[in-house]
Amino acid sequence: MAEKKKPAPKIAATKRKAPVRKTKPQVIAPDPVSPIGDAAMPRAASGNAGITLSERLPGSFVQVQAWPDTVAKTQAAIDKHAGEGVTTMPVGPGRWQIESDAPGLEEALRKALKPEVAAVTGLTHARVVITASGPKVDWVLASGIALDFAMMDEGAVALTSHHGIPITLHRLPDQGEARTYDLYVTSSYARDFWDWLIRAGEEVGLAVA
Amino acid sequence: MSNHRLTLRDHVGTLIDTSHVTINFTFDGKTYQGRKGDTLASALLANGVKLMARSFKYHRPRGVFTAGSEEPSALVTLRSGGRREPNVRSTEIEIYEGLEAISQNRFPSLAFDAMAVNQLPGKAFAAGFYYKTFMGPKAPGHAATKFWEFCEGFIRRAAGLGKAPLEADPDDYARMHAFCDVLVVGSGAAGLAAARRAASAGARVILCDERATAGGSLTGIADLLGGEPGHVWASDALAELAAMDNVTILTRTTVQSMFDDGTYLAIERVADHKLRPAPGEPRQRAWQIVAKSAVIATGALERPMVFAGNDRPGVMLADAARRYAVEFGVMPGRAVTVFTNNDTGWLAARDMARAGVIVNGIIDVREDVSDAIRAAGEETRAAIHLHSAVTGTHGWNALTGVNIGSFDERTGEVGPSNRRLPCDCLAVSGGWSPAFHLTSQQGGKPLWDAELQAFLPGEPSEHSNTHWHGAGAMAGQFGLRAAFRSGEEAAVKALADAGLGEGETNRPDIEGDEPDHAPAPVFEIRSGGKAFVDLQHDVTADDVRLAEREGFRSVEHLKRYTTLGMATDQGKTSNITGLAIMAQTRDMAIPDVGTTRFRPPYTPTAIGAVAGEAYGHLVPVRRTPMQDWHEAKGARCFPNGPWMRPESYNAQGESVEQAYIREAKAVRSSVGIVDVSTLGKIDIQGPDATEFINRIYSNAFAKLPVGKARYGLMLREDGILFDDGTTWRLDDHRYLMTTTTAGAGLVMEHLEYHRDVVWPDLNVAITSVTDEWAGVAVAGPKSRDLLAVCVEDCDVSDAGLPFMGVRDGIISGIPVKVARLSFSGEMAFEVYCGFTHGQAIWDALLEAGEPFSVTPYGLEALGTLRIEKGHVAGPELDGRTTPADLGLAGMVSDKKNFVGKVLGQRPAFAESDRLQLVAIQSLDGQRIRGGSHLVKGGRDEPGRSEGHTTSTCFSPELNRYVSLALLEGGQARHGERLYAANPIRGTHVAVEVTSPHMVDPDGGRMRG
Amino acid sequence: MRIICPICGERDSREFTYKGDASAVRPALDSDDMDAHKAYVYRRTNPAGTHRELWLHTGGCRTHVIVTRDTVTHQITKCEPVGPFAEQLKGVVK
Repeated sequence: MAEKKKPAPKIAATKRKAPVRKTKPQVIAPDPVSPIGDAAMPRAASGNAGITLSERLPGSFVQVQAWPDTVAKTQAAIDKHAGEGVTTMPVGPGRWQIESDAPGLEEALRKALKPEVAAVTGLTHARVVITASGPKVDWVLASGIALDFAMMDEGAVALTSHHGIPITLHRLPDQGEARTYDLYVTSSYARDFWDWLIRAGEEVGLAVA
Repeated sequence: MSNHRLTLRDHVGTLIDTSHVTINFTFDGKTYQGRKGDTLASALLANGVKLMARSFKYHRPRGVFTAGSEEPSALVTLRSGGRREPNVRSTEIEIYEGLEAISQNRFPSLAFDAMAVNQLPGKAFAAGFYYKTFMGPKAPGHAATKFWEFCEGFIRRAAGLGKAPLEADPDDYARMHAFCDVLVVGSGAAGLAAARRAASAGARVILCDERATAGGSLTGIADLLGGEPGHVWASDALAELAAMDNVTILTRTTVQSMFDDGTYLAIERVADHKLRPAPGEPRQRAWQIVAKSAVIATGALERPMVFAGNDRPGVMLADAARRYAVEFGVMPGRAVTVFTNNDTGWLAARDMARAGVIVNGIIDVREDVSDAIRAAGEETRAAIHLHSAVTGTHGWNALTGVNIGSFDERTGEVGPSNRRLPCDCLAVSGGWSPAFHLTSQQGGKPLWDAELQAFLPGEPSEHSNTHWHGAGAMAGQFGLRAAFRSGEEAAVKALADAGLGEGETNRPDIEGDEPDHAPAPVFEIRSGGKAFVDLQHDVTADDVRLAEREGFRSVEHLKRYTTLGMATDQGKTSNITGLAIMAQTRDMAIPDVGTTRFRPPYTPTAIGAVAGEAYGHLVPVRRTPMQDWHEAKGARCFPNGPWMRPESYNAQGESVEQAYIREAKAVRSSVGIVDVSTLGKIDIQGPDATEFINRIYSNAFAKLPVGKARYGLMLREDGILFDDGTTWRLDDHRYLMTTTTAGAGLVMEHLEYHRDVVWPDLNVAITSVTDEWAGVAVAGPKSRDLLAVCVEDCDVSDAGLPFMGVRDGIISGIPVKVARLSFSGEMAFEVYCGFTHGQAIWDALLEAGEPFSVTPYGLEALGTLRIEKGHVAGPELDGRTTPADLGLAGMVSDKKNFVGKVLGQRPAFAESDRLQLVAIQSLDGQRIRGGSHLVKGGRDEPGRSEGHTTSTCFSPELNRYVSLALLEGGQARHGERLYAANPIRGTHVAVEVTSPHMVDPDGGRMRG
Repeated sequence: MRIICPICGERDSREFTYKGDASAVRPALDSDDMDAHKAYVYRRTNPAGTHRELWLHTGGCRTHVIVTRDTVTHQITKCEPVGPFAEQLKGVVK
């Protein structure tokens, strides 16, 4: 290549000739890079914000699928991993999507759930979480998602989509008086979905936290 | 222009803002002033402008005919540039400062139209004119008769409506999904009563009205509600509703369509009453409303009577004339004559007179009227002509007077026209037709009401899950008291549909008229001369009779032969009169002639509104984590499935071909990297995962060891190749399946179908992990050396990572999976990492590859490498090829059962002349074009096609143009000479047929 | 149209992908009966009227639903679960 791209992480020794490196890793993994990228730069609304967005990458995001006769067993194992910083979302019979602030949930659940009990699929990199809050959040979301938001209770979870982009939607406790949702969006579509939210939010005033 | 504005008072100009702000607008370049609350039509009338349009076929002068969305005549082109919108109903558009409107279908000007000669030859453009004049045998080498081709240009310019803009629409359109218990369509007396009743029961209510000001007919009636004028009462009632949390009121919102299962489409004109939308504001919003039940209170449309010269500017519907006077404070004319067959025309005359309009005559076809109606007529001081009809009109660009003759309503006989009455507005009422367009869309069968001489909506179809209840005039419940009563009754039924209680009644006391809406059954006055039924399509009463004579008698034939009701107004003011004339001609009852089913939308709808936010962005795009890098490097990207992918990384001045040849050479000589994050990746887990995969792939998978990958073929159940890819066994019960980029979605559905429907007893979980993993293929003789530099905790030597092996490792502290797979035929690896680390891994590989001059390559080079190697991809898996056709017969197991096995054994799949995969190589240095056919003969006598090319490229390895191809019996024809012919491109290339494996056929390079 | 997904509840039909006739049953895995396979792949009654058909909730939970629909009027009269959890989901839908 004519241009030299500076690698994000500095690795210990790139010029070593040894054909096989067996050293223990000395480099700490770089922070994950959000698929939304610079588009998620904070900004204020021009007037009152009808909707405020923020994004985060999950520490862990795991889908668990039990078999028809192992649902209770799986539930029990999942309950053991519940707690501070863990959001467990039931998304179907014997199926859960679980987000944790901490890494390592996939490995922990795989240890707790043998294949005979349930399948554990790591999706930590596959989802970006967008938090949407504000007095007009239902208005903005309903402009692109065919769900009856008024009927979603606190804690409710829905699997849905926007123009074929898969979304897991989770209603959180209100922030102040404003309705608040977490939207789990697939990483490759995250930029496009974010761009849509920005455009759709303009009518009611949009801020990015 | 003269001022036709009335003195605005409490009950005159109820829709006009009382502030004295004037609004400037232009019509055909001339500036006029109007008032806030005016429509373009009312503002033009206020300025004395009567001539607003030229008709579709005959270019006859036309004025405004209605005061609502049913307008057939006064269509204009609004705005300019990309915002230009043709065929806007001047009766609907609210004026705003700076509005520009131009008239349509005239040349050179509206007042003098050269095309008006169209009407001179009399029958020239009668129904069927085109069929009779231009049908005939096609001229040799022509698409139609020569006469048609000669005339077409003139005719297309002569007939038609406005012109669509050529520029892109600069405005945004939005969508909204809404849900409610009770949708109320129409906010007149019945709709308001229904909304109040439903809201009182706690139902979620959405109330829609197409006008800017809700209230329907209440905005301009003479009656008192609870002691107040209608518009005051309505505005209070609406404010009360608007204050309720469970009620949403949408004005400027037309419910266009009633669909299945309680789904409705409504178009809200958010910014059509402004010069342009505010920042962030859409121009229009498409509401998709899901309602448990609905009250349809869309009122009724007044219909005209048909008589000679009934289209002159100044002839309009009586209720429209009344509304211009009462609601807009505008004189519909300086002297208004009313012609009616029912009581409402008389009340319109009275209300106009009360507003200050001079009414000089009331003509009624009936012999007598009730005392109350006679009194209303006498209040106007107009001359009253009973048992009479208008037999003709005078004037050209504007009405100057009418002829009156005696008329027998029983026989339809017209007496001599012995009186002429000067007037510049003729207000006509021929009765009322309930507006049940929406319920008809959902299959509701209309019923004829002989008393009202109108079709009523009938009952909901038992074949529809959409629950609705008609109310008010829409349901034939004319009059205010009936409207309130039926509105509440409909609301109670709708509440029951939604599982809610009855709510509370809340009706105002009503003082006022109780007119009889039943008209005399008179639709046409036959006195000779052009009498129009469908004003927008210029269909006359004689056209209807002509259709009957020529055998086009059924209502569907009538419609198509004459185009009656097929204009943009869907015949809102013409359908019933058309039917009535056909019924009379055939001596049948009107309902026996039949009705047509209305189709959505109710009024013309902008394409942009339907596209909504998808405009300019129809399909969302998936991006790999390296897509920013590709774009920053100037890679040309194009769509591959839902993804954008780089075609090639062109250096300065380099063509695509030069770039991919350079990139492919770099791979074969040293090492290159390519972003393969787009490959479909599916996590398959469970105790039965192995069994499941073994049933899905045609080749054996049961004994794949952990830590190994295998190339698999997937067939459709009919034995045709469906998709291919490698599947990696990560653990005893855990696999990572990869698919082609474009096939990922369909493969996922294929697996889900077999898991859910075919073998639900297998415990297997299938999850897309395409977004979990970013992937980079590292290919070329130096690929192992490159990885050795950067991968930790993974032995990449042949012993540590043999061909098709999969290992975990670490690059730059990031966990990766390294699989030794080759698509290029070179020694190659695929490195997978977490999606959010994709760019970091890409950077690390570039840095580690610096000593080897690592070259990023795009899809063109990727394609070139696999074509040279004879690896198949999408173009070869074309939905017709079997594994054997592509030389992959060895990958079809005969030791196990799998999807596609049985039907794959059909004898036709084994025939030797099937199209089979070969390569062809150019012998004369010419490029082989995509889509070429393989023929035996030279350019002059090519002979028949024996096959076709599938994937073509320049092969840097062979230094010539090559292509994969499908050739009849090709596997036995290596060495044969043929031509690759592309007559469209004009190429005819001498080629030699070879094995598809053009590079390293024994696979030594990738295994080495 | 609105389809009742046994897992997600009533949703717009645009969230679903049509997957064809639900009465087509695949012959047993070990069957080599050519006629039975042909019937499974090709033979369709294509009725003008009531039709049991598969819809996949691609825009939601990605499980299948068996929908009974009138092909003339689009009227849906029944939505039933199918798949490994069909038993557990019975009674959820109409």
